[in-house]
Amino acid sequence: MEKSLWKFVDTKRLNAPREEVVGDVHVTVYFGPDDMPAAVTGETDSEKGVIRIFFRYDSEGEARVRRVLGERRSILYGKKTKRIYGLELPSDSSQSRISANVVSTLNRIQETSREIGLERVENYLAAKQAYEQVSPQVESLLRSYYDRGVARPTVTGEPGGSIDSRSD
Amino acid sequence: MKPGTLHTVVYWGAMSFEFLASFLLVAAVCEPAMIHVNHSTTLGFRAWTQQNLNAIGIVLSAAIFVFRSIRAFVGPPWLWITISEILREFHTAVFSELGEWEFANHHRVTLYRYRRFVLWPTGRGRWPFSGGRFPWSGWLVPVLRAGPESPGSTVWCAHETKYDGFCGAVFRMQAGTAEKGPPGLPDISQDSTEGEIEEYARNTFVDPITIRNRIARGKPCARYYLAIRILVDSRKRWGVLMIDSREEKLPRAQVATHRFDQVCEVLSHLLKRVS
Repeated sequence: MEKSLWKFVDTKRLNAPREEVVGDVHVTVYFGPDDMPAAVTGETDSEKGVIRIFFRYDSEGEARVRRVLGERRSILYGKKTKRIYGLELPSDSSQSRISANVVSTLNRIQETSREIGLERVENYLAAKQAYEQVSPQVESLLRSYYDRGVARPTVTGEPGGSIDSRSD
Repeated sequence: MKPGTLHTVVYWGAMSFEFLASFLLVAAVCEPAMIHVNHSTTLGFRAWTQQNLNAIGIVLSAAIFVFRSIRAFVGPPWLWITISEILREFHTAVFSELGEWEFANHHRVTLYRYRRFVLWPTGRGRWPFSGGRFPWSGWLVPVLRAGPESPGSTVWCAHETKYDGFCGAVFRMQAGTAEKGPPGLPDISQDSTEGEIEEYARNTFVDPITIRNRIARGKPCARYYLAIRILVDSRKRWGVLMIDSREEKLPRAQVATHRFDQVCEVLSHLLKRVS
């Protein structure tokens, strides 16, 4: 197992204005400073056949909880803030579906966040956009691990697996 | 605007009484003779405290808890002085290009604090408990303002579903920061039509009666709002920091947006000390 360097997110670009309807009023909204990840990184674990994506924030320092979402699929979030700190996903044999896997899992978390008791919806959206911004760098890091034989992908992961398990 | 004398007196008063109660508690539990009185009185006092030790302990512990809570609620004076300086600097950085009269009266940076219970929400110009709002609905109270001398008087409802005012909406929406300007906010004056007043009221999440009252009292209606929700420990909603201006957009928009997040982050660290 080997951990990569952090890939810093351009938060200025990430925090582009968005239009949102509040009540029946159109308002320009932005992410709050606490919702935006400052950096993203990834690691591979050949023993378990998984990849892990991690998010870092400017203000941290809280206990984290791991919740299993499916087979070899889990989420790491802040116990108090409910912010997403990490994702664990099955390794993809073609490696081309890493991004699709990560993004679709974050989409599912965002869509079902209220049902599973994680209500920091803006953070999940920010995490997805932050990952998309640095995904080429994170993927190339993961790929370099594969190429160096640090981890060998064994199982093809299905993007966006169901989030039906309870926390452990 | 800096914290007043009353604030300072309450804080230091609570601290003094907390210290006194702590001293008496220690004296009662450990050694009644620590209180310097003559020998015969000491003996009587010692006997009395030993007989009523449980009651004394409970009363003094409760007093310590109450005074500590008051101190935590009010916050240390140095903290409010620091925050008022931060807001003043921010206000100057954003609005310094405008004229002095304009600068003082029509462009404000206000810090609102969330309170679960407010006995009488002021400044609304009408009965405050209409539409299912109650003193315990949760309210945003203005605590500091950079710009005019007054800290502001309008208290906005921040109930989960029955919020009002732009700051109330920002406090309850998912996004942490929100902005609103023209064309949704027409220029409101004595000559404004009923349609314009209603459009303005709808876009700022207030009742048209409140806007009419503002016009009647000669108070300006802002044409631009930028508000950010302040979280402490990245999760607890403390309040809202809001810029409102008579300009259609901020004169130094880049400076403002760049500094706004920074100011909010500093405030979220400082305001941990005010529970």
